[in-house]
Amino acid sequence: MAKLLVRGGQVVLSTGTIKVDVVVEGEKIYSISSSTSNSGFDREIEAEGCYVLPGGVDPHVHTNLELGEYTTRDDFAEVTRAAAMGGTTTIVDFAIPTPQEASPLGTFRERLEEASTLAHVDFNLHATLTRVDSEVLDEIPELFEVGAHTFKMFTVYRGLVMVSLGEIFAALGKIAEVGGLALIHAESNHLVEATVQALARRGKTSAAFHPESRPTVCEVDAVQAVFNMLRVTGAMGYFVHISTPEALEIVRTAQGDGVKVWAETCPHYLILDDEAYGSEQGALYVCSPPLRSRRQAQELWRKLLLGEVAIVGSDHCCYDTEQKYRHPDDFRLMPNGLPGVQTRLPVMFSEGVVKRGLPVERFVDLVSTNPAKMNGLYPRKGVIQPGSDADLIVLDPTRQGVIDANALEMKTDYSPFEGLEIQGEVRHVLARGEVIVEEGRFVGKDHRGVFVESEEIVL
Amino acid sequence: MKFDCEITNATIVEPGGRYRGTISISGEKVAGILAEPSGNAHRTIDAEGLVALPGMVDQHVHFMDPGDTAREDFIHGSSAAAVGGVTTVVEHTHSNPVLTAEDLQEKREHLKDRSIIDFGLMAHVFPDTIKHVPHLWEDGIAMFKAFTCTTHGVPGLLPDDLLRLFRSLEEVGARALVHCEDEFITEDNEERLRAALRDDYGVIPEWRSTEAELVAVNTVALLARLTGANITIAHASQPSVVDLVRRERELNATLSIESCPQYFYLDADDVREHGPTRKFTPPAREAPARELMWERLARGEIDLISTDHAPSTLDQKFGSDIWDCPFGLPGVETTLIMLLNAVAEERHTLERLVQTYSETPARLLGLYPHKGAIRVGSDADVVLVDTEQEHVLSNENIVSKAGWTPFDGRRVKGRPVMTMLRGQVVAENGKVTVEPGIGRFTARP
Repeated sequence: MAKLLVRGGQVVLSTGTIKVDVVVEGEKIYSISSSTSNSGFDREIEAEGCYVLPGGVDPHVHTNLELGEYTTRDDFAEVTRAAAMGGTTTIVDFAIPTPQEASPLGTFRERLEEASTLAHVDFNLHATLTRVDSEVLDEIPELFEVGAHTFKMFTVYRGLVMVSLGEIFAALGKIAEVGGLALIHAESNHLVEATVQALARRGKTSAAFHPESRPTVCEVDAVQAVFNMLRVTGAMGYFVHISTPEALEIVRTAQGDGVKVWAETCPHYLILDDEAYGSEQGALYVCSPPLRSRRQAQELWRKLLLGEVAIVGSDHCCYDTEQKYRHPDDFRLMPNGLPGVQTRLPVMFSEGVVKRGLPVERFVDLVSTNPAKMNGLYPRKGVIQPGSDADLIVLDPTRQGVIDANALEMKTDYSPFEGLEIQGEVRHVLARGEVIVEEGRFVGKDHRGVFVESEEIVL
Repeated sequence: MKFDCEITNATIVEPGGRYRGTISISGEKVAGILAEPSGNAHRTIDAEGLVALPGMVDQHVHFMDPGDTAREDFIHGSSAAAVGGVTTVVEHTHSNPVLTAEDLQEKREHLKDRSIIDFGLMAHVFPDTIKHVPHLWEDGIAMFKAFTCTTHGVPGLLPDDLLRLFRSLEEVGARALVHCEDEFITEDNEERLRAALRDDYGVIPEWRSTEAELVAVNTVALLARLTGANITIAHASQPSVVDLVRRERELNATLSIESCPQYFYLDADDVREHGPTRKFTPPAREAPARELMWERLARGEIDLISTDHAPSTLDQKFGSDIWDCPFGLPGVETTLIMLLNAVAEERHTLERLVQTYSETPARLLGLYPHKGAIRVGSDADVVLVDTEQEHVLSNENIVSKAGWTPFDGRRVKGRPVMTMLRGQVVAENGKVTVEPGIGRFTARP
């Protein structure tokens, strides 16, 4: 087996950060040690002055997503290449039944096949329930068996993916029974529809009115409703892309009551705010839930720094400007979502660790360890310890750059973070022992990514 | 380079999870953690089937040495600790308190050949000795102990004294462990109970009432918030204490909560039945409160576990009536066992155990990562545990001078089988394997 040495970096372990050598043998981490002899290695990577971190785990990626009129621009080869360039070595995508009536299990199998042939980094998939009836309830244990332990449901997007609260309640019972975790997109559909209609009647459909069309109360209402059901059913819950401190407060209270529930937020809810919709490029920032006020974004940061956010996911949806601008006067017809699988980790490092003093260990928890735990991939993923997969990134915390869509790998022509100054650069990436990014260049080959089955959810 | 020792095939537990590996040791330090044995060591300890934990850090023991060596001494106490998987203790003795920097030097000198494990020392703070805080802190005292009530012969601090103390602590960055019971309430209870000529064992929970603890915790927590001082609530006995501290913490108080096995395993019925051998304060509460303590432990709301090892012999315990017999339990050798048993009963996890009885106390003492972690560069303090071994706790096997345990006759699952201190095996299967003097005073770094 090939032996590789990562020498002299500041290695972020689960017990803290320390200058040590990491030895990789084959696809696994072999040892962590204070001094390693020079001989017997097929390759050495000098990490002096750099952080050595477990590869990022992005728990929220949409690849080749068909939703209504639009399909996102990237396939599994492209998304995983971009992920790797941004220091992410595992993505968790979705198997969303299209049309809504399709079988979650059937969709899962097709999606698995699609990803397996193309992915450059390892992956897992969230099963998605777009209807809940006896057939689907029977599929939940089968999905669990084949390694999907996480089940996504939407409280919104009627006619596309939405399930009712009654359906969610039924599904949560079954999910609790098998020991799975429910992922919830929480926006109250009736409130969203009513607000959107009221605005549309007054002709207020430009991107500038997008945030007003899905106000804070939509998220708060849905989180509260689902939390009540989590408490009753005993299912574990995970609220994706929480955009408001108000909703986060409900999650925190729930945790205090002993309910197993966690919150994800995304870099755009922390770093951007709803002023973006006022510009001419407003349409580029349309996502749901929408960007919130400056005050809310700051409060979200404060709560993240206090430890009230478990995970930062990208919610990557690779639309391009042609799609975003196709119906420039009507947010109802615009595609919802932002590209971000490549920028998640560097942006969070720069804005969190460098600018706001987020401890690097907490950063690793947010972008790697906790997503791995939440998806049942830990300790194979999300940690640097002997026996774990050798997914490592070498990050130089001093290098500076600027986000420039042209220089990014993602299959789109814009980034919502365009022009943002960044400190900290991913120099090398190892995925299961193979160097796939070297000095910032992608050198991976052979689509080596494999499906990593979920095991126990330990968060 | 050849390692001095390798612990192979162990399941290594950290607060974040567990994995299988080999711990390679050079001298007193962990030099490497490997997926497989390197085969390149002078000595190999095969830990197949065992779990490797960082040595336990018990921040609250009384070894009575010097002070009251008829009850316990440092050799017996530290031996009991070593056998019980504890590699670092912080000790303080009420009958011979460290009040000044001179006291600290004297006690260090006295103990230099008397410990099996590493130890820090805690200073008492009396109303008129608050001025010594900076000097003691400079000289490496681990932390300070204060009482809100006059107990065990130690004078209590009223809110004005506490305020002065906390300001001084905040100034130098030191932490205090505070015994919280309101003296006016306990005195009032005592008066009433004595007037009724009560001397049954039931006086203990009534005398040292839940209100007395809560009122004192409330004051201490508020003062902690107002001053910004780093305060640990000693031996929290009831869930309301935990909840009250959580609220103050949300308002940015720097507070932590210590609790002990007796508040999880014993209740007021045991006290009413056994009296002197279940007399400690604050006392064990009613059974439902005990259940809620387990919940809070599992949820991570109790920061750390200590023993509050305060032994006396059975003769001493039964030498006077329930009012006058000594407070306190022996336990430094059974705390890890009781926590392992709770893992077997699925009350909490090994990860939580490592966090509350090793990592967090080490962090709060400023000793992490030298202590409290199995990681490269740390002290090779390792305890190997057989989580499957069932055994019956018995007074006959107790190493402490007390010679008894409140858990006598209890069948438990899980026990430490080997304790290593800085690369050296100091206890194996209930027996100490070294001579006293190996244990060093651990000044804050």
